[in-house]
Amino acid sequence: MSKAYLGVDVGSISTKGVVIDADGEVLARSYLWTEGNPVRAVKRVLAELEAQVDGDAVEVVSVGTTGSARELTGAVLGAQVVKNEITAHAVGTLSRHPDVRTIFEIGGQDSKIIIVRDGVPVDYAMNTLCAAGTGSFLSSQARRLDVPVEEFGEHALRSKRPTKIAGRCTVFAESDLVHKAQIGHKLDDIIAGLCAAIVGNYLNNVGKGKEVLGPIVFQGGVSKNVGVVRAFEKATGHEIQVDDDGHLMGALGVALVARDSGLETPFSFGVRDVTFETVGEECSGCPNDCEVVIVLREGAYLDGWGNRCPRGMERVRERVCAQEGSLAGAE
Amino acid sequence: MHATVGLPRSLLFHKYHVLWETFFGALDVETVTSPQSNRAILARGIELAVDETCVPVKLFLGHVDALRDKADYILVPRIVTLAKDETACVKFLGAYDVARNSVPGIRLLEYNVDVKNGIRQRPELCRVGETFEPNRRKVRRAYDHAASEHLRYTARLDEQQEEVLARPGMKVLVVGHAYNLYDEMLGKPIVDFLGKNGVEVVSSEFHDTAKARTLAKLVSKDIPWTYNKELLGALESYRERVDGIIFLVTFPCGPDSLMTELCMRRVKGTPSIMLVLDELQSEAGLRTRLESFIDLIEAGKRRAAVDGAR
Repeated sequence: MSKAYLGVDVGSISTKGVVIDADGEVLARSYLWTEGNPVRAVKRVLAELEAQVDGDAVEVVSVGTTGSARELTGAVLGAQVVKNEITAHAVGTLSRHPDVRTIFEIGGQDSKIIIVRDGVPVDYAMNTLCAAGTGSFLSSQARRLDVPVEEFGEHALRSKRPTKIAGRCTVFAESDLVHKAQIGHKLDDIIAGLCAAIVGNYLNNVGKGKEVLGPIVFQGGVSKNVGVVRAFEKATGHEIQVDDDGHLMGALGVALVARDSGLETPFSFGVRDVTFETVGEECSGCPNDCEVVIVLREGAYLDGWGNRCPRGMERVRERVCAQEGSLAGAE
Repeated sequence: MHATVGLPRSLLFHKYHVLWETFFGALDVETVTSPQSNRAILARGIELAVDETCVPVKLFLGHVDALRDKADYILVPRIVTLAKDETACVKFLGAYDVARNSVPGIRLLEYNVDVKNGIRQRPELCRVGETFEPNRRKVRRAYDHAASEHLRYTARLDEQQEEVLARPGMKVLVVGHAYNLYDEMLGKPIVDFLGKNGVEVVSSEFHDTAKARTLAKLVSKDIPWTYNKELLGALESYRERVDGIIFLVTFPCGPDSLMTELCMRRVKGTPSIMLVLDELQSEAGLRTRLESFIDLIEAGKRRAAVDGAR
């Protein structure tokens, strides 16, 4: 049996998973939509991964989770490592592109830039209060234009005269886009303009004040859009590399962090068949009214968070468990 | 019968509480402080405030309201200028009038400071003191005692910072106004998170105002806001001695948005991030940013150690 490591990256839109061997080679990969249900998405990812690895030859000995649902996923999988997505992405990308100096990343609801020098991340920035210029913005504009977002790239590449779209704010971009269509701009040009607006917005907000040097690697769901890739190349004057596994870098990174952590506990894909339930409840013990989340494994308390003080967790835990108990008794 | 004065735990409270508490204490006036910020206070503040005001002002109104029926008076100063060629942020100029017109059923005590126009703190605060104590000399003595206690307290804070800076381990400077840094809902979760992860926090509270003004000039000669000058002074004084800098800004702060931009261009070489807090903030987003910031500093330190060994 050789050792293997599992990395799971649960984002707002998509859930990604990889199994790697001790050399960091990817043995299995999975990518699917989160659909607002991270636990179910993780179970489906596990099913896809299990089908790709030879269970008699390799054994998963360490698990890492990342992404916005990393804590929940970490509890469910009993992960050895729970890491933020910025570090995970930097580690994953550096393992594939050791010479990278700038990482662009545009995901479903956030966008970030990581500056790397001599193989070490030295600076990063993330979008602050506004989600303009992220993947969900592109999807909603695609719906408005009635063009599948997957075809955006082709449309953009056909354009010779990209339309100028105000990309500062999603609301204004949308009204501007409608206006440009009404006065007669072509669909291809509008889509190309939208891609350029995303890039302009990204470089002016997230990338503001950062020294963008090549080699540049672009990842996250939006990197699959060649229109945006071209717009980045035009705006930065650098070649933009997009890895085929670009969407898996977070999962790969956190699998590598799990491998290097030295923490090992045999992991079973059988966790797929275990029932997990989450309960969110306001504590109401004080004016803060913390929203406490509790994870139940087969009806028993597994983990919880969201409380500012230990009393909050106890209150909600007792309440929830009492409820679950009475429910179980009624059955 | 003892009179009571309410102190809203917001805005200038975090800077002047020792001054106020000592002053009123010496006059036998009891002070009542509003509780630590919580969601109910913020919710009430949002209800009372005009939409466009910044989060700290919303919290301020919530705190004023929390003191209703808890004290005979509520103290809210009106600070216009603290030195020639300087100005305070408009919220300090307007806080008294905003509170008077937004929060029903309260009695306010105000004092003005407008140094540019010859209105100074001592006679103004003494005027407030005379509401409770007719003996003018006794009031002036109370003020002088309070002012020296305030200085002693702030000098001690500066010393404590130096002690933190002298300690080994990872140190991060958090640049932000006292009313953000020390607020239970705004800065406190950040400072606590850093502490839990083994990071020593150096705050941008810098009380040697003369030195702060000189240092601030190195960054910009044109910044007019007094309290921002103190932040700049702290930045110049501490930045070479910390491993990272966090700029803590509340939405939508005008002075800070300009200042932070200016500072981030200035601190090249030291890892720095900006955290923007608003009334809808999620702690998950903050944690991601803070965790990765700590990772980044650690990676840098590891590399420096390797380079050093070579």
